[in-house]
Formats: sequence, C-alpha cells, structure tokens
Amino acid sequence: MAQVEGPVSFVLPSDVGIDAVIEALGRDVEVVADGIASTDRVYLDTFDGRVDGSGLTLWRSPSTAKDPTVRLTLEDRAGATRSVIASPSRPDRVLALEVEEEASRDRLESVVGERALIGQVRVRSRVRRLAVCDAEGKTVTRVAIEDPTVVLPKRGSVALERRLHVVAVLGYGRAFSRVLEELTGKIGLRRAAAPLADEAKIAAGVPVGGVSSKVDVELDPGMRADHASALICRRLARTVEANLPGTLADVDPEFLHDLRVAVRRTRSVLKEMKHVLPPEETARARADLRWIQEITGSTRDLDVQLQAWPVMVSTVTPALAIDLPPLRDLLERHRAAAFVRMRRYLQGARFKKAWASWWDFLDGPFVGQATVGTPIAEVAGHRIAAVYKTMVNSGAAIDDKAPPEALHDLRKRGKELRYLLELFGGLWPSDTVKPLVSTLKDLQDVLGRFQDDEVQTVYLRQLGPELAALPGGTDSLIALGLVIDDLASDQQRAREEFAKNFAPFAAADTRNLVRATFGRRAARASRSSR
Amino acid sequence: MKVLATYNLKGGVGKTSTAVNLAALAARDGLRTLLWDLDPQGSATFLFRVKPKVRGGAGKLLRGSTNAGDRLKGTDVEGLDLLPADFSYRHMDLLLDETKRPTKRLAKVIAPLADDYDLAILDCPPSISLVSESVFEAADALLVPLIPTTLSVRTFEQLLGFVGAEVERPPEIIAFFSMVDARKQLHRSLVADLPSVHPSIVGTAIPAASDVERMGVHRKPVVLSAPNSAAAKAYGALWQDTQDRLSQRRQR
Repeated sequence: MAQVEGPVSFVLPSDVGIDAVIEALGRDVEVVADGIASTDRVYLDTFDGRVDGSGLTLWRSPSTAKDPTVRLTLEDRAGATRSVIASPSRPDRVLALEVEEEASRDRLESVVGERALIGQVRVRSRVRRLAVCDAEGKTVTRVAIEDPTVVLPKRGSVALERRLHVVAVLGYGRAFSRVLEELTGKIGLRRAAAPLADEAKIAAGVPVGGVSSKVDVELDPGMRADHASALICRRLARTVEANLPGTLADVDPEFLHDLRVAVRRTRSVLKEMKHVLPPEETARARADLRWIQEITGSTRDLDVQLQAWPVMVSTVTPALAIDLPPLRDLLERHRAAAFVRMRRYLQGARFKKAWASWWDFLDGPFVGQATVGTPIAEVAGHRIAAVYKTMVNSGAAIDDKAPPEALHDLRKRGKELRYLLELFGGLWPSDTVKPLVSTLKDLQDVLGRFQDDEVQTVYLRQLGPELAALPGGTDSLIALGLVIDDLASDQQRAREEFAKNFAPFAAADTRNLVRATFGRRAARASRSSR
Repeated sequence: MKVLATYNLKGGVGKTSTAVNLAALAARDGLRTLLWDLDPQGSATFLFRVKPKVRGGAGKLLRGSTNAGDRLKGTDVEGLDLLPADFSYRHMDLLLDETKRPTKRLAKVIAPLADDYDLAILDCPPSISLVSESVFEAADALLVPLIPTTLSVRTFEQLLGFVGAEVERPPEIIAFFSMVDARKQLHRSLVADLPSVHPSIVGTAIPAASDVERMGVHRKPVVLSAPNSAAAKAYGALWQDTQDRLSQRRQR
C-alpha cells in the first residue's frame, strides 16, 4: 500500500491561539471545524515495556463496571491505528490471548508473549478537530489540537502542554507537507520532543520504556571487589523489589521469574565473592536468599509446567489430547495452592526481617575481608577462569552412562559462570566475552532441556495416584504416560546432543581465550598496567 | 481481508448507497476498510469528494503494471480508503478479456492489499458481464439490493441461478429490500413474504427516503449526515445482518 506519512505532533505554546493556527493554514485552503471530542485513554504496556520497545502504542478506554469487555487501540510507528475488543478476566490486566480478533491477537502475542498488559498512565484530553479541505471540500489533511491532562491515581491531575497533531490523508501527501511548512515556517511551531504517552508517563513518575531487570551497573576494573559486589547486589535487590508487587498480585508469571533470577544472581555473587565479603553477614544473607528461593520454587515449577502445556498436548494424538484436561485442572489446582503458600511467606514477618537485614548489610559499612582492596577485575576474572576450568573437567567426565546428577551439577556451574559473565563481563572487551557466552549458551540450552525434562517427568509421575482418583483421571493417566515417554525421548536426545555442544565450549581455542582473558597472568598484566 | 460486493444487474436500486454506507459503518467499527468504486459513473467517488481518476487507468491496474495501493485515496471517514472510479472502467470488460484468467483478475488486483485492510467493498456497475463474473470470483459475499417488484425478483432469481451454476467458488448471497415504499401494497407484501421463499434475503429493508437521495447534496453517507434517520438505522441493521451472515458462513 502507498505509505501514508506518520502523524507529526507539535507543542502549541500558550500564546498561540487556535485562531492563529486556522488563519495560518487557511490562507490558500479552507479549514473547517470537524468537531470537539473528549478522550480518556489508559496507556498499556507490559511491566518491562515490550509494547513501547516495539515502536507501538497501546491504549484502552477506562473500564466500566457494567461492560466487562474493553476496546484496545494499537497504534504503529506510522500512526495507523487498529481497534480491537478484548475480554479481560481481571480488571487490572489484559492478556494478549484475551483479544478477540485473531490477527491482532497474534500480532500482540508476538510482541508481549505471556506478559500482561497493565495500565501505565491515564490521560484525559479535549481534542478540537480541524479539517484542511481542498476546493471540492474534501479533507486533505487532518489537524487536531489536544489539551491533555494526566490523571494521577489519588493525587489529582497534571495538565500537559497543548499539542497540535497533523495527520496525513492517504493520497494527499503534498497537502500534508504544505501544512507542515505553514506551521513550522509561519507560526514557528516546534515539534514535540517525545510522544504524548511518554510525556504523560514522566509526569506521572512512571518509567518510560518499562522496568528492566538488566543489571546496568557501570564497574571500573580497579574498583574494590567488595564494593563492586555491593553495587551489583543493590541493583539486584531493587529488581526483586520491583517485581514483588506483580508477583504478589499474580499479574503474570514473569514477575516471579524475574524475582527469582535476581535472587539467584545475588546468591551467585555472594558465593563467588565470598572471599572478599564479610563472612558472617554473607553466610546469613546466603541462607536467607536460599530460603526465598525455596519458598518461591514450587510456584515457579508449576508455572513452567503450565507454560509447557501446549507443547505437552502436542506430543500426544488429538484423540488422546482430549483426555488431558483433568491433568491441566490438577496442575492449576496445585499451582493455586502453591501460590497461596508462597504469598503468605512473602508477606510474612520472616521475609520482611530477612529483607530488612539484607538491606542493612548492603547499606552498612561493608568492609570486606583481608583481601580488601583487591580489584574486582582480578577477583571476577579469577572466578570466571576457575568456574570455567571446573566445568571443563566435570563435562569431560560425562559420558553416556553418567548419572543425571552429573549433568545437573554441570548446569548449575554453568549458571554460575553465566551470571559471572553477565554481571562482570563488562570489565573485559566484548569481543572476548561474547564468544565464551555464546558457546556457554549453547551448552546450557542442551543441559537445561535435559534437566527440565527430568524435573517435569518426576513431577508428573508423582501426580499419577492423585490424577487416577479424579473423574476421567484414568484416561488422563494413559495420556500422561505418553507425555512422560516423550519427555524421556527428548531427554535422551538432549543427552546425545551434549557432547556436540560441550566440544566448542571446552575446545582449546576457548580454553586459551579464557586463560588469556581471565587467568592469573592476565590479571597480573592488568594490575601492572594500572 | 473479507471482500463484499454490492451487485445488481439493474441500475438505480441502491448499490452505491449501500456500498458507501456500509463502508462508513465498517470503518466506524474499527475495521480498516477499502471501497473500490468499479462503476465508471463514479458515484461513490463523487460522494467522497474524490476526483474520479486513476493514473494509468483500468488497463494498467488490470495488467498489474500499476499497484492498486499507490492509487488509493483516504476519505473524510477515518479508516476508510477509496480506490476511485475512472472513466476507463467503461472498457473493463474488453480489458479483462485480454488478460489471462479474466475472472480471477479483480481478486488479483486487490490481493496485495489483504494485509492492510480487514474489509474491501466493491461497488459494481449494473451489468452481467466479465466484470461481474470477476467480482463474483473475488467476493466472499454479494450484497444484492432488491426493489420489491416482480421484475426485480425475477432478475434476482436469474442471478441466483447464474452464480450457482457458473461461479467456481460461489459467494454468499445476502439480498435485502431497497427503496421500500411502505405505502405500496406490493412492496409490503413482497417484503413480508419473499424472505421465506428465498432464505438469502435478510429481514432488513432500506426505506425509500429523501435522506438517502440527499447524500448527493451533502456528499456524505447518510449514516454520517443523518445518523438518526430511518435510512441510517436501516443501514446499521443491514451491516449487522451482513456480519451475522458472514459469521455463520465462517462457522459452516
């Protein structure tokens, strides 16, 4: 289709009246009023800003108690809008799968996945529409003058600067360009620096682009290792806190996932840096964080089971798949119970105390051990080299007969190495870190598959007796047997693929790269150059 | 993209009025809508105040050397774009005859727009020709306005026979009474009785109304210029009937 130019927004200063705009535009063409409207939009995005990150804008009309459906409007970069109806199951979120129209549902799903769309900011506007017409009275460009107000929850409202939007009409590009020239040349309007939704978010104190779980901490190679570790842990603690409300409200499974990843990364930092951190406080913090990991584990495991459901169903024939719903019901019931238990713990006194104590540790004097003053690059480099070496040795010992625990342990070491590289890898040139991360990722993929199949099999197997006792449970059990068979086959395939993915990770080139970048000699060279 | 076509062998029965009003209603409902004015008279194009001119004419469009997407015009109705009429469309039959697989040709012209629009409405000229055969192949449904007279009904039955026998993938036929004058006994009795004989006739009837005639003065669909009028409400009901029929077709 012929590309229609995207809308252009200007800031309309308070001393430039609408009459001045009409006069400027109406020298050669007719400008007619095209109505006044009030709009009320709640801009939606995922917690981590996936809609915004895809160059899209999404809003909904505020919901009413009477109508459970909501109208969503999706606007792309070119300003093309698409309205769809969704039937959300909860008032505080919309899921892509709740969008009724298939094409839009698929499009939104490809952007947000399973993340819930949640309200970011509400903007009420009074919009005065003008139509710039040709000699036939045909609209050739649309102009809208908008007075937006951000509605703050429980805190009144904030008026934003008046905006003037110019919208092209397909097939009338020249008229559009002429209007832009008039507005910039004759009235001297300046283009709005940011989209209205972003400006509204800033006014409401909502982060533009969402909340990232990325550990964006700048470290200097010469920084004290204990202080660098504390910086990283503080950032991770903020990620835990940012994801806690969404976890407690059960908005979507990614809140809990990101919370747990942040806890696991923190535990990894404490483990790898234990020689430079205060021993008693570190041991206590590690115990507390392990407890948090434990109390959140069951819910996460069941989230994974439910997320894997479509794959699970696809492994059996359609005739058998119709017997699986009792299993799904059972998983959902277990998940609901696990969630209630987890929420009770996360809202309980022990968690509050543990978390307060963790912040006391992070904000305290934070004096490390005898190795105080050791630069982070040296400590982290040493740990990367050591964990890598352990992995190479452990992996080399794994053959077809190795017990599953051997692969599981290797995966755990792999996670530690991955976290070290993710958190401290920025201290080294990316062209040396990236190849290592890449081979590690391939290895972790296959080990992850092996372990996930194992965990899933064990869990599903233990559901057997309970499932059999349910109405329709016997049929479901037969189908479950086939699902478990398929998991066993996939696990076997993963085991067979292990050697192929381990080889580049443990290859001489990679070993040399690790030694040259992170080994003791490299650390000494780095120290002397400082 | 669903494709509807307003069609009748007879002229002056309300094809263009139906096409422009349903297109406006679809766009108002949030559907990205395309209206192709295939009638060289260009009435739909006139109503939307667009020049009845397509650069390169019908020949280039049909041969594919002009991209239909480059010839579209936005209308005053947001979400509704128009592929305008052109006087060269009067030769469309002859031009189609020169192409390979002429009855598939119109579908081919709009196929590249399938991702950009949810609905295309083809406003057809009154004839039964290669153009109409190509329309029948392109459309998911034909909207057939019927004036409640005996001759109109006879023509409609001819159409049903032709589409059933000659069209490879027959479209759904959605017929409705148009220009109904409730003062006339014949109109009243046909409107009441005929839907039970022909299930493809929906219950909605568009009244003969001066508001519809005045569309040419306002140059706007009646659903926008007189939204509370009886005619506008009837077009609203027809749009609902059309969606219901299409949805039933999908379920079949």
